Amino acid sequence: MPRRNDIRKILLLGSGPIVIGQACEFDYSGTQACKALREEGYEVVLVNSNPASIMTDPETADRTYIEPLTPDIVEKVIAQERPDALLPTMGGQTALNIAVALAKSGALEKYHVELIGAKLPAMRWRRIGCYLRKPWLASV
Amino acid sequence: MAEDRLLFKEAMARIGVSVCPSGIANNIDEAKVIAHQIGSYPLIIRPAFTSGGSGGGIAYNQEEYEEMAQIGLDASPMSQILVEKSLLGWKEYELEVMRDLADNVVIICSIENLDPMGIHTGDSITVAPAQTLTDKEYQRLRDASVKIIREIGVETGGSNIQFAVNPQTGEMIVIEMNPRVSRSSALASKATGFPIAKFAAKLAVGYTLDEIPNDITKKTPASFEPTIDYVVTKVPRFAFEKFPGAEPSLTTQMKSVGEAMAIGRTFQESFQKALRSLETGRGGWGCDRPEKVPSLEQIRAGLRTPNPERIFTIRHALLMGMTGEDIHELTGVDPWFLDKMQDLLETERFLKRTQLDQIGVDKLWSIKQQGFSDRQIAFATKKTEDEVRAYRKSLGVVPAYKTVDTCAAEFEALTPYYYSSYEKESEILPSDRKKVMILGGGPNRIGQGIEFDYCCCHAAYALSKSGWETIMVNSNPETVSTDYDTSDRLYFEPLTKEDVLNIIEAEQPVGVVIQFGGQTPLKLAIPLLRYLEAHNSTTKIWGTSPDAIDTAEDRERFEKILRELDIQQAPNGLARTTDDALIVAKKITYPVVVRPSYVLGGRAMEIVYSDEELEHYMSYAVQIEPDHPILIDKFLENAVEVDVDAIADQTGMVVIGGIMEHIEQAGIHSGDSACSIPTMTLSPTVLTKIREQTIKLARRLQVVGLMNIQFAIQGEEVFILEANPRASRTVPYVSKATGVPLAGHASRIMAGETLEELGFTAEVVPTHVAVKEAVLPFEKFAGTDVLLGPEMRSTGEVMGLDEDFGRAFAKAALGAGQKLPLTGTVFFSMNDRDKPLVIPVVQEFIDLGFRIIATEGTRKVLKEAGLKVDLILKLHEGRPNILDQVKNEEVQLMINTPSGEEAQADGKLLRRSALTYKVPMITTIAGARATAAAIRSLQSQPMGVKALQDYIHTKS
Repeated sequence: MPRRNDIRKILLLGSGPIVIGQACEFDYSGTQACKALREEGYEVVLVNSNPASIMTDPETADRTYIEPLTPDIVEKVIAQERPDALLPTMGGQTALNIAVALAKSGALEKYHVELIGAKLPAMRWRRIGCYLRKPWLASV
Repeated sequence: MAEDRLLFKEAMARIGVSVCPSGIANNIDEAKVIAHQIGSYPLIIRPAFTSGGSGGGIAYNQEEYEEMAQIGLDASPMSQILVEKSLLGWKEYELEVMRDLADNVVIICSIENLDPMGIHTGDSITVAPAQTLTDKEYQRLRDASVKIIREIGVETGGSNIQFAVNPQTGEMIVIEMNPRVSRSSALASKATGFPIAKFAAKLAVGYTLDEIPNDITKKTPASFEPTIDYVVTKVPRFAFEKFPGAEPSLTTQMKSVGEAMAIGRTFQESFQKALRSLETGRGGWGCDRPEKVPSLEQIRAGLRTPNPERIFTIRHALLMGMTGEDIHELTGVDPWFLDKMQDLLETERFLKRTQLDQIGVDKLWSIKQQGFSDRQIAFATKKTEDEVRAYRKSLGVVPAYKTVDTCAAEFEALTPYYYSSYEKESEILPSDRKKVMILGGGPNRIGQGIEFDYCCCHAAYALSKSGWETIMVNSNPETVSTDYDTSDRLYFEPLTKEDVLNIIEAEQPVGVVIQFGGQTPLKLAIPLLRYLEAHNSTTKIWGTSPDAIDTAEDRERFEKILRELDIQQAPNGLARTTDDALIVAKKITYPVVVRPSYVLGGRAMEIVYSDEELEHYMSYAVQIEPDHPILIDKFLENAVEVDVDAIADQTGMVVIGGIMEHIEQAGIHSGDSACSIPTMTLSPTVLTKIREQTIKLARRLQVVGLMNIQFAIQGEEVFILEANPRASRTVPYVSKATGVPLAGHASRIMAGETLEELGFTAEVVPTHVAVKEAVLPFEKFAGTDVLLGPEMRSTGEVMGLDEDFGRAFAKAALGAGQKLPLTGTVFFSMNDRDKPLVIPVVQEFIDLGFRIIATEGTRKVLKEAGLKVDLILKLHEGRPNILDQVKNEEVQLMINTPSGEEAQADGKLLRRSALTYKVPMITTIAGARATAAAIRSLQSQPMGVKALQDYIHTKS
C-alpha cells in the first residue's frame, strides 16, 4: 500500500516534561517520527512543553508549539493549524490521554482530524490487563 | 474504567489468553465478594487515586485482607480499591510487536525481566533476548502476542505486550498492553537496531511493513524480523538518597530515574558492562573495592525485599555460600542467572589468588569475555588499572567491535552502530575522514538529564555538517544521541576510562568533546588527558582545557582568580572538622550554606541558621573526608539568583547566550527553580556588571566553548556563586528562548571556528518571555517532604512562552501540572521570617478577588497590616482544621513556607495532602508573587497559542 495522499498535515504530540516513568525515550521516538513523516513530505505540527528535547528544536518539526500538554491547549493548536491527522502514539501515556479526551469531547470530529496509528477503541485498552505492575491510576 | 477492564477480559477470553483475576470494590462487602471470586490468597489491595501507593498492600489471609481492604477504602479519596490475585514471584516478559494495515505482524524483540513480577519493569534489570524460556514457551508468548495485537486492533505501529509466566506450572497471563511506543520499545530499538518509532510513523501513514526498507541493511524490509547474536542488559538507576523519608524498596510503582544498557556476546559480559555503565562507582558486579559482607540474616532480608542494591546482596549471599536454590526461593530470580553469577565469582576467586603476570593469554581472553573490567582485575590482583591495561595490551588482548545489524550478520550492515566484545574479528568500517568523538552523559539521573543529551546531539549535528565524521559514545538507551542516525558512528559502550580509551585507540579521532555530557565525561577529562599525553597520542581533548575546568571547581584556585579580577563572592570558608566549621560560621555569620566539595546537583547541601544545626549537619548529614572538605558560604538571604550561559572562542571573544532570572530566591537549587528570559527585575547597572564579569572570567579561564555562571543579586550588589566552563542544563532552554543554537555553535568553536565566522557576535534578548519551570517527582516517594531546597530533586522541566511574564509563567505552571485557580480561597501559613514579606502578596490575592484564610500566627501579622483574613485551625488545634478543608475541596491554592522543627511534621503532612488532593502548593514567597501575576494575566484573557517558529522569526 502506498503512502496516503489524502492527508497533508499531521499533528504529533510529545510527552511533556521528564518524569519518573516517562523519560527521554519519547523524545527519541517523537524525533524519529517527525523525521520519518517529513521525509515522506508531510507537514508536521508538534506540541510539547519540554524545552530540553531535541523534538522541540525549531528544525525538527515544521511548526513547533512549546505549550502545555492539556486537551484545551491542544485543541487551540488544532483550531489554528487545522491538521488532517493526529498521531498520538509517540508521546507516551500523556499523548494518548489527550487524544482520547479530544476524541471524546468531539474536538477531533469538529475539526475533521483523523486519528492515525491507533484508533480510539484500541487506546481504551491502555493499562487494563493487570495492575500489579503499575500504579493504580497514577498521574502519568 | 471498570467497563474497559471487563471488555479487555472478554477480548482476551475470545482468543484464549488469560488475564489476572481482579475486581473493583467500593465498599467492604464488595471487597469480600471479589476475594471469594478470585478464590485464593495472597491478594493485592490498591486504593484508587492515592499518591505514592499509600494504603495498599498484600494480604495473605482473610482476616488481614478485610482489615487492609478497609484501610485502602479509607485512604482512597473516592473510597475505591482494586483487588487482584498476587502474581509475586512469577517470571515477567515483554514482547515488542508491530502490525500494519495489511495485518502483517512482526515481533521485534523479547525482553526478560531478571527481577520477577512485583517490581515495575522500569525498575527491573532486564535482558534481551529472553534467556530462560524454552522454545515452546517462547512460541506461546509469540502466538499470544500476535493474537492480542489483532484482537485489540492496534491498526498500525508498535505495541508492547507484557506477560507473567508461572515458573512452576508454565501458566501464562497477559498483564499489560500498550498500544503505543514505550520505554521498552526504545530499549528494543537500541537493542536490535530496528527503528520502531520511525517505522511506526510510516505505518501510520499507510505503508505496509514489506514496503519499508531497513536503514541498517538497506536490503531487508521492515517485515524481516530482527535476529540478534548478542545479549543486551539494562540496569535501572535510582535516586533514593535525594528523598529522605522514602523507603528504598522496589514495588509495582516505578521509582528509577534513568537506565544504562550494555551489549555483549554473553549475558555475563553485557551484565557487567551494564553495571559499570551505571556510574554508581562500580567496576562491574563487585570485585572493585573491599567489601563488608553483612550477616546472613541481613542478607536474607535484603533478598526478600526488592531494593536497588539487591543484585549486590545476591553477590553477598553467594559469597556466604547460600545455594542458588535458597536465593531463588527468596528473590524469584531464575536459577540460570544465579548460575552465571556464581561463575563470575569463580573467576573472581581465581583472579584474587593469581599474580597479574601469571595470567596467560587464553585465560585473560576468557576473563575479559566475562565482562571483567581492567579496574576489577586490578583490584583482584592488587595492581593499578593502567598496569592491567598495559599487560593486557602486551598480550594483544584488545576488544573487537561488532555491529548491531538487526540480522545476526546474515546481511551486510551499512550503519556503523557498534559494541565491544573480546573477540578477534573487528567489524569497524574503515574511514579516512577526520573524526571527532563526542562523549555522552550516560544514564539519566537527577541533575544530569536530557539537557546534556540535547547538547551532545547538537554537537554531532553541527560537526557533521561542517565536515567531521562524528563518533558518539553513550550507554543510555532512552536518548536521541544513541539513535544510529544522530552521529556518523555510534558506540554503545560504558563511559569509563577503559572503554573510552579502547574506542579512541580503535578509531584514532582528532578530537574528543567532553564539555557536553554533564559530569560523566568531565570526570573522565583529566584521566583521559594524562593517559593520552603519556602515550603520545595524537588525539586531543577539545575546547576549554581540563585544567581550566578543574580550576573553576577548585575553591582556592578559583578564589585567587576572582580576587585578581575583582569579582565579588559571598564570604566563605572551608572546614575539615566540626570545630573548624563553627569558627568559620562565626566569622561569616549565620545563615550559612554548607555542602561537601565536588558534588553536582546540590547533594547534601543545606542552609543552616545556628550552631546547633551546623553541629548536627557536620555529625550526621555528611561524611567528612580529608580530601573533600566542607564548603561554608554566607547565605545571601532574599537574594535573586541569576544564571548566565555564554560562549567564548579561541580569540578571546565572548558572547552571552542568555541571562536568566530565577523566580525562587537564592538557596533553592537552580535546577529546581523557575526562571525567566529576559530578566524581570534586574536594574541596568546590575545587568552591566553581570555581563562584564562573565566576559572577564571567560577570558581569564581561556574558555573555548560554553560556560555557565551563577550569580546572586542582593540589591545592586552582584556576587558570583559558581562558574562552570562547560555546557549547563539551561543550554536547550536558552536556545529555544532566543533561537540561537548554542551547543551547535560551541562545538564548531571547539573545532577551531570563531564566533565571528559563525556570525554570532551579539547577545540576543528576546522581546517575548520564556519561563522555565521544574517538575518534581514527590508523588512517587511517599513519606518524603515536598519542599524545595539547595538539593536538586526535579526530574524535568517545561517552558511557557508568551508575550508577558504572567502568561508565560501561567503556561509553565500548567505545563508542570499546576492548574492555577482563577477564583476561590487561598490558604497562607508562613514561617516567622516570611510573615512580614507576605503582606503585599496577600494584598495582591485579595485584589484578584480571592478569599484568604490563614493560621493564627500568620493571620495576626496580616490583620495588623489591615487585611481581611479568616482564621483556620492548624492540624493539632482541633477540628475542622485546614486538612478537612483541603479534603472538602474548600481550598484552591496553598502558600506555605516551612517553619522550624516543632511544626515541621504538621507542615509536611499538610504539603503531602495538597499533593494527594491536587491543590496547587507554593512553598516560596517569590513563587507566590509570580503565581499572583500569572492569575492576573489569566483573569484578563484566556491562554493563546503560538508556534516557536513565529516567536523566533518576529525577532530576527
